[in-house]
Amino acid sequence: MLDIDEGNLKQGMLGLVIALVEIIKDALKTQAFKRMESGRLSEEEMNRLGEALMELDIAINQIKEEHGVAEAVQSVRDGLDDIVDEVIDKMVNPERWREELETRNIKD
Amino acid sequence: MRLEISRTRAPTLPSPCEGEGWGGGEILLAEQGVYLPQAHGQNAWHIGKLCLTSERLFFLQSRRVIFNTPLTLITEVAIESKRFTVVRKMAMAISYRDPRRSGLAKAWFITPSLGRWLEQLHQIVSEQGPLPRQRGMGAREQRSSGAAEISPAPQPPSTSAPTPPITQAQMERLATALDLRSREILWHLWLKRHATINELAELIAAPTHMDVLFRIRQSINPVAEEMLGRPILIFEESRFDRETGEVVSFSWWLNGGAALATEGREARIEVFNETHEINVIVELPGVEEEAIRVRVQREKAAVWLEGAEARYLEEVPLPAPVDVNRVVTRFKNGILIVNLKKISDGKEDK
Repeated sequence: MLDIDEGNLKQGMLGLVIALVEIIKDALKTQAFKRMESGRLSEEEMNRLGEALMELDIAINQIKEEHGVAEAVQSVRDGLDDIVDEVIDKMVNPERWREELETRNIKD
Repeated sequence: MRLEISRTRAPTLPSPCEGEGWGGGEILLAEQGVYLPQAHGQNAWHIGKLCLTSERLFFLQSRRVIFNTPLTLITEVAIESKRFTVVRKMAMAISYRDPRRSGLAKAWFITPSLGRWLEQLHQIVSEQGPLPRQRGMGAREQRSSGAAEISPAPQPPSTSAPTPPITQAQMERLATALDLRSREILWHLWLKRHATINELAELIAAPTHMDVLFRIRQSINPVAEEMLGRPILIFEESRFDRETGEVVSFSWWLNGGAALATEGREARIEVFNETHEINVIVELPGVEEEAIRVRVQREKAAVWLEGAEARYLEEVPLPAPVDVNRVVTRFKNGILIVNLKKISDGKEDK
């Protein structure tokens, strides 16, 4: 059993879990919109998705409020955003590689 | 309750707007989309259907009306960049008078063909004329500020059949008949699809916008009308860019767009790896179904076009081996879906 009595641990764990659920929810919404764009989302699916995602939104907000983890969730997401930004920046900008090489060479 | 759609202009009308309590009226537009109310956080987008009738604009979620305003209370229609989940998208921002809150409220919507909505709602709001209420930065005022000092030639409403895309051969013919700077404008739009007057002025180092407009009206378009029977450059206040999914405002476009299947232009292809099947989705706007050829091998799929001018080939590796005898293709609205069944481990063992 995981002992989550300590406030800190609980905040951290719950924050992480909720952040992950939020990311999955975002991915579902993104996917739903992509399917709308390609005309592959049926009316029935649209109705079900709309309802399910709204309920998820409400549930997440309730949990955040009840346990006061809104900040923890945000910091997890911000941290992830920064990592992703950095990785993408490096991947799509080969200039960064050169810059990095150059700065290394200068140091050497 | 079922409603018949009375106008054929509507872009996509998969089914009428079935919902309760929206008040009736002739349906002008209906499309799946997302809605963000003002009071909520950045990411509380609702998924459902946006409907426009001759009287009101409303949004249905699970057949329930969760946004509803009479058109007469809309004060402004604008385009804003909003965060939608993890990306930024262009959204239609509707400002309206909310009688319940006795003040101005705002709502955002994103739909696949946002350009149509903006066009229609702009028209409705401007037709309402000067209303006895404060307009703030109204749609019309914004329009004039965005279009700079120069008003381009009025464009006829685009209700006719879609203009055929321009091929590279046609472009080359046109270019030879034009001077150097006009040519630059033409090729710039060929590559970029659209450009603002500012961009074009910078491109040819024109001292004023008037120079560019003069060039378009006196040189480029007359030559194109002679050769193609229609002007090649058109100005659009707001138009949906199919390639990027953005709504582009106040820009010049190639009339009909650049034909696909020319070098340097890529169609979008996506491979969706599901549990038992693989879907390959290729965007082929403006392509005739008869011209499409698909070849599937165990671990790769190829799509190409056959025809006089269009030769385009896209080959993708597949994430898993597929059964080449069970290939289903569908082509609708410029989107090709190739459905492939994976060879399951069980079957292979037998």
